[in-house]
Amino acid sequence: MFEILLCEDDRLQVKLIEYQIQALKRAGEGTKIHLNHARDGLEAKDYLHQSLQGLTPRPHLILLDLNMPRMGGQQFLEWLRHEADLEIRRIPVIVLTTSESEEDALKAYEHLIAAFIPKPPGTSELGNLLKLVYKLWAEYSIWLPKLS
Amino acid sequence: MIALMPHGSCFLWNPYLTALHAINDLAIALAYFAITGLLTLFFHRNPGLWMGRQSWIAFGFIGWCGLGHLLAAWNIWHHNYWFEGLIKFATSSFSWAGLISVIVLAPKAQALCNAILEERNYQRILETAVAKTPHPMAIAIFDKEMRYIQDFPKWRALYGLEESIAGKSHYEIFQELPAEWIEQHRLVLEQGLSFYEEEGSWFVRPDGVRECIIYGIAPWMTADKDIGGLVAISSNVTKLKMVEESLNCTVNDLQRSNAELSEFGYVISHDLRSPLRTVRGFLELLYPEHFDVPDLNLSEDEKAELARDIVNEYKRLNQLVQDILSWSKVGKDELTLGRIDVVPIIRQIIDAMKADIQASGASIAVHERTFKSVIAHPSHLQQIFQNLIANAIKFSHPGQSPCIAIYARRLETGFLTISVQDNGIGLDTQKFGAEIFRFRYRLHHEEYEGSGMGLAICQKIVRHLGGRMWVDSAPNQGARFSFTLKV
Repeated sequence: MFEILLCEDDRLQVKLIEYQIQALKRAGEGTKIHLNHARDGLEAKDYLHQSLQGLTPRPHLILLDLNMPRMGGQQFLEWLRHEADLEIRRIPVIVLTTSESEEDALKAYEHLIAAFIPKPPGTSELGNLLKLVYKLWAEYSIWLPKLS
Repeated sequence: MIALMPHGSCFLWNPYLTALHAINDLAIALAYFAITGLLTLFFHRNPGLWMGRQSWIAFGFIGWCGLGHLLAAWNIWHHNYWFEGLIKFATSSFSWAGLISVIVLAPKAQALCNAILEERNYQRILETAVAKTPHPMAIAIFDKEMRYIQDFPKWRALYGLEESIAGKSHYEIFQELPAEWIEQHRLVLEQGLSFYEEEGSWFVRPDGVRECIIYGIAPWMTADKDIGGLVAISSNVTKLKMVEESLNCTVNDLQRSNAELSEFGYVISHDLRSPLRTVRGFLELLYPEHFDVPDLNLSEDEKAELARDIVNEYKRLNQLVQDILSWSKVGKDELTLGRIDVVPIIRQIIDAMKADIQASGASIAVHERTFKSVIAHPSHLQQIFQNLIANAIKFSHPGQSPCIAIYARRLETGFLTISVQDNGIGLDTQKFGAEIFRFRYRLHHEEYEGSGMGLAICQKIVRHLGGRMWVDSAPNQGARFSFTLKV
């Protein structure tokens, strides 16, 4: 399965994304997606630590929100790219946020994110976006190898 | 060989003539010796004025002259004319030496006199220039014991001194000078250093007025290149400094309000659009046929839940808008501040929150006697206590009744420190102690629903009233929110 870690604090936004992935699968696309959820940077950190111990699958891709309680997206990226174990440091990150600020984008790109995408306004755009992300990262790209 | 005759023989031993010569020769000798003695004393006291060879010549000249006259008196009755002649030889040698040194030294002495006159003139011009020009700058000159060498009227005018300061000690007049200044004076007088204070330094005048001055101090030198004392030039910059300080305050206020504005902009773009996006998405999910999106064939239960979510999201957004409004109003509405009693307001808020308090089983202890009246507006205190008590109830341990204590302490002069303490879940203040007061900062998810505005509002109110706010806590150890208000 293509493991995605969705790091997002807004329960309803998560729900919206889940429905879109459900729709994708229904249309026979993105069938390999397995969505995991963390509500903020700290939970994502915990999740990744657990994946290092083999308790959870290591994500192939992280979808990251910026504005979250306790530990926001930028802070999480700081940790991920500078302090985290090499095995998880390499995970590609797509920032999916309500922010449209160039400053936020540049700061995130400094941490080698794969894309900075303002959340699209409607569900069909969100569905298309997820489809594109899935195609690029799960179908066309080489996956991160399984952790030994 | 004819023996030499005593000089008295020339007077034919006329008693009057003999006495006239003898007495006056003795008197002249006595006067010369007295002068020699006084000169010795003078040079002993003023070793700095000793001029070496010239002084020896003067001494010799006067001394030998005196001795010559003494011998002349002696030889009225005796005939030591060789001895007297030798002494005259010594006297004439010293006289010629004196003549030559006067010829040589005269131009030098003239130059020295001119220099002294010029220096005095210069000093007078400087004093007049500093005293007469209409700027807040004054000069004073001190001796080595930091006594004013004369009166400096402009200096007095500048620092509110009424009586003449001539000869008085600087430290007697200004008894509350900063220790740092006194140390600088010592370094000037002992080591010849000079100082320039350009930032402005505060001190207290004898009449109790606080003043800020910029100054320069340096040693002044005697003709012998010794340190004679200290010269100080100072300029009163109190007014400037006060303007600068009030400007700084304004700049700080502006920076803070700019930062608030940019946070505000962030919230508008992020927090307000997010619920709207959710509502739109959910409506599209509910009515795919109207929006040309794929139909997910949702069950009735799922649809009902989406509808509930939409309504809840509306409520959340509405609350957020209200909180942002009350946050932005802090300090903008012209509430008249006054001295108010805190306890009745706490009672009033507890009464208004009765339903929530009872539902949570919370007990609230208000230590009334610890309170004093503070400077605020009742609505300020209402908002603060409403938020803090609501937080204390909300962030309690699941299944445990909240215990809340509200009390005041006098920790800082001029301020009352008010604390609201609970036994709830607490927080890691090392990580989040300052963060939680930020605009829209949330430390928790749905289990502790909130707009993330409560503490931001409280802190903004407290700052507006000139106090500060902080939290003492540790995870699972309860939390104590404290703020200071002017009394």
